[in-house]
Amino acid sequence: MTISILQDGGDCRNLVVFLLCDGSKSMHGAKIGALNMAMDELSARILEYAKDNPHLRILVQVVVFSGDGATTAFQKWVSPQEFRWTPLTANGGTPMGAAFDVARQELENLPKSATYLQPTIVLVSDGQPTDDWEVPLGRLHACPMGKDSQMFAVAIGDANRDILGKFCAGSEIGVLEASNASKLVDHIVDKSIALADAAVTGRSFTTGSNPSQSIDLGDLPEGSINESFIDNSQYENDLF
Amino acid sequence: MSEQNHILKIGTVLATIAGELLTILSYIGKGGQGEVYLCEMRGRQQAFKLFFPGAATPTQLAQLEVNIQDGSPSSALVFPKAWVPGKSGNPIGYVMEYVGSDYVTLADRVNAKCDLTFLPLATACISLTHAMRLLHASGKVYGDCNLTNIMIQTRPLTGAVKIIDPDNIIPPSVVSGLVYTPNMAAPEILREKVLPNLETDLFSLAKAIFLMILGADPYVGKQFDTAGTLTLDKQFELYGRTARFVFDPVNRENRPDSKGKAALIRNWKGLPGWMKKVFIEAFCEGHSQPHKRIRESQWLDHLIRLRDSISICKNCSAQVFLDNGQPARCWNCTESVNARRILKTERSEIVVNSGTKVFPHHVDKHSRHEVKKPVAEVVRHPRDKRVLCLKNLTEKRWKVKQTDGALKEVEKGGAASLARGTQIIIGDEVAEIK
Repeated sequence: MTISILQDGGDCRNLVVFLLCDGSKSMHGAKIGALNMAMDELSARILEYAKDNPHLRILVQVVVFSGDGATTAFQKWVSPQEFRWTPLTANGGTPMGAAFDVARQELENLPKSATYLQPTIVLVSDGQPTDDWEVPLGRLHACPMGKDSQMFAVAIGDANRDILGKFCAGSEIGVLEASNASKLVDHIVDKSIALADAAVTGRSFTTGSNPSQSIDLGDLPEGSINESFIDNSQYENDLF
Repeated sequence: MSEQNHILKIGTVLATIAGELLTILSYIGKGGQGEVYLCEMRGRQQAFKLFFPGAATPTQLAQLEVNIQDGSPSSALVFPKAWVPGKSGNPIGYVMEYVGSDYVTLADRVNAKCDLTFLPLATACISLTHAMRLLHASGKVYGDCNLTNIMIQTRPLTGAVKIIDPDNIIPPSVVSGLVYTPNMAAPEILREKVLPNLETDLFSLAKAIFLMILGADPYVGKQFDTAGTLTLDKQFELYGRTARFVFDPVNRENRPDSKGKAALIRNWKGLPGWMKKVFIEAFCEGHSQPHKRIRESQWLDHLIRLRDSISICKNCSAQVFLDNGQPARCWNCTESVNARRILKTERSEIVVNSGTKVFPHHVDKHSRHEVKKPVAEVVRHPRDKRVLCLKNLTEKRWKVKQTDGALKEVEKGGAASLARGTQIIIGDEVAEIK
């Protein structure tokens, strides 16, 4: 029998995924439905991603802001294996500023001795805050891990894009549309997590335009496009 | 990746520019510049790369046609074979060789997802270096060496390699899309956005060789453990401006963690001293001084010598590197490991194991680095399996001077004794058994 060589198994890195979810009354109906569906799918996809990438220790925390204030849903820093989404119901105001404060405090409380990949902070909202949000946002942007984070906002419905844009100011990704759940999940898993992870897994990436946002599917031969892809993409207007 | 997230419909039939039909069979995956599918063309499985049209630059598209016309300079380099036009007549993608599941990626090796031994890994490094040398000799550079583009055959465990993803193969210093991987790109690419050239390829090659043999990054040590958040900018700094080889003989500040990198440390200790010096040169001076990087021909000399230095532990069968034929401690069971015999030629010393091959590189000064077709192989004696002998795989007779002084001739297919003191004339070279 041949003895295999000694192997360390790569560098295990911590990857923080912070989800700030709007559960306020203005999200009532289809909006909260889209958010719930997306988060349910996200939990499955992050688990899949974690299994394929054992060198990553993914830590997820969800903060919901609604009539009950801004509170951590489920547990703090759950692993993908433990992360299961329980549907939210929409109620009350939109204490977005309080959610930014919770996010900052949680980031500041992470053990300093560990090494982290660039954290991902996602704001999923229709962007109608009812509290003072600008000062807490400034504090979040200024804290050490907040400064290093990739922040992006997912606009639900007729969102106030100015406010969401301020949240992800300076981020490579910016404000995304979420007309359906699958696309939202793609944005979170494929763009944000994979970008943070790129250097560790050794995948190359390009700078400049985001390729999957600039696809001109119109040049593909007739009948060659996957219908499920069309259903779940933003390209339908380009095609029909 | 869920089934619905790829662009092409399974079963779609596309036509190459020459009118050959290909059928899309399944989705394989996607990268920064497009998606890859398994397809069938001319009754054979191939891969089809679909560009994200925004991702392929005009230079790349023009180079695609040149690369198809030129063909691959090495069977280890997967090249585009034919391009597929879209409705506008411009390329939407291309067909290339499909590399199946009998290959693993260099990322799999680094992440300990496969069982490997040093012999096929050293062979894989030789094959990789050969392929890069032939590519460079054809006037092109690879540009985007990374852990998922280099694949190693594990079934069977031959050490053959395939370098996939030919999107960025281009003449040196040509402006194309800037594609890079922080942990594989040369520091001048990270620092100054220098365009890929021969020297940047040589840096990535050195890293690939280190990752292959030692299984870890040569710059990821204490500096990374204490870096805080590893943002992209931070990684550029740690792999670029402040990078320090983890085994830098002078500055020990970036030593690897003794627990998390225990295998790396033991693997390093198990290398022959001369090979450690090669890596020190590659990752200390070679980091900041591109013109001092180790060339492909030098790597081939070192890697063939490294492969020739492998012995097998009698106690546990682990593969152990010997330093100039001297006994070493087995890294697995700590028993002393000796060379059973050493076959010495003018410029090589080959540790003899069952199955060891002698190549023209070892015995013909005009065939340096020729390690594809062996001229001799160590085999077990047909009547006594404990006895090893050297089988003649050439058309020419060998002259053998036995230890008692008697002269003997060995025809093709015959075998010579490996008794100490035996001299075998192979080609123009006298090989002596020690």
